[in-house]
Amino acid sequence: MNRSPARIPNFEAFGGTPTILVVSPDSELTRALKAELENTDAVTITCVQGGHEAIALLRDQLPAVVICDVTLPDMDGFRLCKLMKLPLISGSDQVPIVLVSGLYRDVLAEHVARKAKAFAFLKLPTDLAIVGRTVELALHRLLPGVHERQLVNHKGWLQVACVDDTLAHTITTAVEVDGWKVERAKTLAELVPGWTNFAPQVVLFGLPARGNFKLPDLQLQQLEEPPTLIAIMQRAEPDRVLELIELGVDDFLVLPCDPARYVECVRDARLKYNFRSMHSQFEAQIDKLTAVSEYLDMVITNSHEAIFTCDPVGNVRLWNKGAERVYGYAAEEIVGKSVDDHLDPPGFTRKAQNVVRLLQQRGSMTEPEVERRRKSGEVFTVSATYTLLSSPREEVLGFSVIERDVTPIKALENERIKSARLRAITQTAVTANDHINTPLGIILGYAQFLEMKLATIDQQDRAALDIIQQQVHKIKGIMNKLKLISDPIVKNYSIEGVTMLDLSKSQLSNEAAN
Amino acid sequence: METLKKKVLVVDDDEVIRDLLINFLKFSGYEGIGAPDGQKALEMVLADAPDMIITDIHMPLMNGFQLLRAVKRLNSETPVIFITGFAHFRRFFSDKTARADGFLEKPFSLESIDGLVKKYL
Repeated sequence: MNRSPARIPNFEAFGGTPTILVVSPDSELTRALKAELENTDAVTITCVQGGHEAIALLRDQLPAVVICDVTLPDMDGFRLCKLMKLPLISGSDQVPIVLVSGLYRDVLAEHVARKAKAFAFLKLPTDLAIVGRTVELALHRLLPGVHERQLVNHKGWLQVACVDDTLAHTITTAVEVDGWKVERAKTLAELVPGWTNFAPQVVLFGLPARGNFKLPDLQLQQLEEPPTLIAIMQRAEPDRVLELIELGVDDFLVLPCDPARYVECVRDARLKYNFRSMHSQFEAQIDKLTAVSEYLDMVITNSHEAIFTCDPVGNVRLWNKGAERVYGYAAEEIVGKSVDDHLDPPGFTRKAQNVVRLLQQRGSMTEPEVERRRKSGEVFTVSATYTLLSSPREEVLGFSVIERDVTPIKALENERIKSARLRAITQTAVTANDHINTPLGIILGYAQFLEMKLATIDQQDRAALDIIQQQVHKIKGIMNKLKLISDPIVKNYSIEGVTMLDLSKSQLSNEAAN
Repeated sequence: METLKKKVLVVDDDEVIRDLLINFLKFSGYEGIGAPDGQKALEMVLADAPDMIITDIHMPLMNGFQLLRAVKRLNSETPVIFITGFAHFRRFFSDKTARADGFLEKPFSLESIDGLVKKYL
């Protein structure tokens, strides 16, 4: 099958190059369209952003073709198309309009485009590559082929596979009158390989009168938009029909029949095709939404943090597994009940409504430590983040709370404070040791010195000096005990400029222990 | 015989301790001289060449360890004895570059001072 139609003579007899008006607020789309149109010979491109701007331009000069985005800031592309087809501006109804859209991609949009009398409807980005070709078709530089589905004056593209020429001719004539483009072949097997590139909307194929007819492998699952299949049978055979239905055939024509019946059958098939196409698109959208909602649900449900939402008066609306774990209330127990009554520890004064008021001022807030009460009555500390929930119309719907139980963290912190306190105490002990030992040394030293110096000291005075020395040793004993407390941290003690060696494992420590 | 007296340098920022030790040393027949900090002590080591040094560890300007290292670098023969109230320094009373010859914890008894002095002089 030769799909490239012959180039027809150039009609630009008026001189100059034809202008193409691109209407789109999307600069990226404009750039892409321009890039595609650069491959098209001898055209000038003008770009505007909105519908009104486009109409203003039309008053001065009519472009040869208008390419218009469906999504425009001031009016939609369908409306611009309709306005141009009204004889408001002389000649504007003669300008072919190519509607493009990345947003509307279904057969319904195609239908609207057809009603608006657009020349073609391109679904982006799939159809971006044929922009240039469509423009050339609009400029009458090319003849349209049967598979030119972007052109909305095509009702559809039909393939007929039939050995009987007379029958094929009858069908073709009937449906072409109804506005279909028809392609003919002898057998179905000839047509199937082409479907991977361009699938028709409807396929009519004849079955031989008798004998076992084997359908070629249609591979319908691999096609993005499979055609509607109609079998033409010489007579109704229930077994055959069932077999064909299983293979994916949609409808049957039993010969002989009226030509009007062909047209009707093809129209039905078209409807079915449209329905199928819409259905698959809806299904894809629903799948996407379900996946997103399931994913979010999973994130919230499995989150380790307690996540819950409240309405503006403080009744719980949503309660996740984390909240069940932290608070001990199951969702059934608490949803619909007041959050203040269940979670506030005794004497807690800030109520849900105060939270809403605060959130209205700030949007969201975080409390690093706030006391809450579990179902068991135990009061514990959480770190909480509150966010205001409001509708697009700024109505307050309530607030969401994400909380983390910080009891373990708090315990750790207390431990840290305790150990810091202990460190301070031992540090003091080390210092005290020195400060007391020095005067003790002086007292002891002088007592001994006096004892030595006054060799002829009397018994009573000697006893007094001995008592002084004994008492010093007693205080020293106490100081030694204090030393033991401070022992573990002294390893880190150093004085400026000197690196201490820990000799505790050497002989010295044994000596000290003795 | 006055000139034969052995010279002992006592280094401590506490004047009372310094005086006690100097008096005791004089009483025991040595010449006792004193310095309030490591820097002054080092000057006196250079000027008077003491035969022995008894020093505190925690002192202003230059601590006992720094003094020990400086002295050992000048003359490794001179015995250096630490006295300190920081009992824990016993563990650390030497490092790789210099090792003290003795260590006394405050409060020390005069007999132990006497013993150490007799041992080294």
